[in-house]
Amino acid sequence: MLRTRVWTALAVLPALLAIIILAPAPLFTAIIALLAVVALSEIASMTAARDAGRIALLIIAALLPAAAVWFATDTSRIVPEFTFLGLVLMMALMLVHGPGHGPHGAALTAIGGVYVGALYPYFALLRNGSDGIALSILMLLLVIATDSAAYFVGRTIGRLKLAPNVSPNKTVEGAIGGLIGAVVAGLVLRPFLAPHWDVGSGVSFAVMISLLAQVGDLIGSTLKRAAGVKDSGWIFPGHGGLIDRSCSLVFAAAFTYYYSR
Amino acid sequence: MPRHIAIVMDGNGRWARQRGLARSEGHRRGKDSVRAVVDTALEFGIPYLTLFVFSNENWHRPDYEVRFLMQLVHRYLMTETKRLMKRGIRLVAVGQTSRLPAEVRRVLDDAIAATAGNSRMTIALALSYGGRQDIIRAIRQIAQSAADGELATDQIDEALLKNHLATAGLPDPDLLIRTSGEQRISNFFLYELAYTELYFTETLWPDFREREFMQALSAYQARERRFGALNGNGAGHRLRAAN
Repeated sequence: MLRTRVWTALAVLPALLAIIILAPAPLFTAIIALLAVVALSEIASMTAARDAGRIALLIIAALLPAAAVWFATDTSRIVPEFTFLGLVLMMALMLVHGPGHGPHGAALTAIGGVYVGALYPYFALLRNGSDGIALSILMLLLVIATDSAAYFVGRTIGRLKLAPNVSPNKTVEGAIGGLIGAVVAGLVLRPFLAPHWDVGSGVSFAVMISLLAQVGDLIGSTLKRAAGVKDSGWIFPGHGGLIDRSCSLVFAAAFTYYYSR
Repeated sequence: MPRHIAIVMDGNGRWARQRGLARSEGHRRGKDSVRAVVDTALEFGIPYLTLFVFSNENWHRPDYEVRFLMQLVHRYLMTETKRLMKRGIRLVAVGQTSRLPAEVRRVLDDAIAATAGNSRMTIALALSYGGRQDIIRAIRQIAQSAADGELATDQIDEALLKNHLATAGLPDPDLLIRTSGEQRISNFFLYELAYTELYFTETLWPDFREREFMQALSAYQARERRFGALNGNGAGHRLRAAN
């Protein structure tokens, strides 16, 4: 499993960086739109939305917040914030009452739609904005640093379970390791990718990204757990589907977008 | 330092189009630029800043765009009044504000009234403003006074005309900044720009932040302002970069 993961990462990361650096802005927007469609189709299959009514529900649930984020007069921060709070609440309920007590059926389809629609636009808003390329790369590398440090620290010294009802393999030690990993990465990367930030804002940014990456990861697991599946899809061998891979990035991207303005 | 800087904030739509984003995102980022420029101007103690928000001619834009811009102004006034208060900024409006939608006019009047006592800096928002229309309006008023016998024609001088313009109470701009490569006045201040230094930049407004603003300030300081007099004649003054 680990070997497949590493190989996939080694193939996907350079491709991802190349797209972020080289793609013309409109093409990047189109790529994100396409990925959002893939993510929605994963939500559809995860939540067994097959009939036309459920598909329509999924599309509407995704389009409304997406349009608000993309076109509204003001910054529409409340859209990602409420999405975040709603999903954290859902996760808390499942942590307390057990994995069987989450939303299911049409409700879960709609939640998945809002999740993708409210958050995916931020990948394009962030990357195509001022300093967007450097900030997207910084955010991405901090998330990778978090994931890797959490994985290895958790595997070597992890004992205390972090969220057994949602994601059984995660440990408290791993989470702390991930946080430290992100801060170290932030200290190393800031001079290159966000040179006009001072050290303090670089560190607090790394801390926020690491926290949002880890909570985002748990929220991704929560969605899968509620749907009763292990992986959201199969696009990336060893990494599961797009939702599996993007869940630690979506909140981080929205946060970076507002932090950088 | 210039006492009064006027800015034509161009390029929000183009910025968004170039980046594959909605026009609204260009305007939202443009609003962030306004914040950055206002804060920088405050730091440098610049007492007057005019922002060209919406011209008389902008009413000819498509309906949805006008509606969007009006919403944006409305939101800006609703959310920024608190910031203006905190920073001691007085807000005034120049232009035919009577043409604005009632909702916008109300929050505008409220913001003007709320900030009337502030004195650290004055921000003038040019809303539904046209330079020619403003001069014509002033001339009509003056002509009316003359026709009513309140005024003799030889009493009409620069000071009198200035007092009838929408910009009465504001000093003439020392520096005009226009972004996004347009090199026109576009019926902005006409009478007021007589001796204003003009600064044009290719930077689009959403990218015009602290650094670009400071570049404009140092370009201004490198210029020699003579107001039509010869250098060293005493009438003109030479401005040098402070550092």
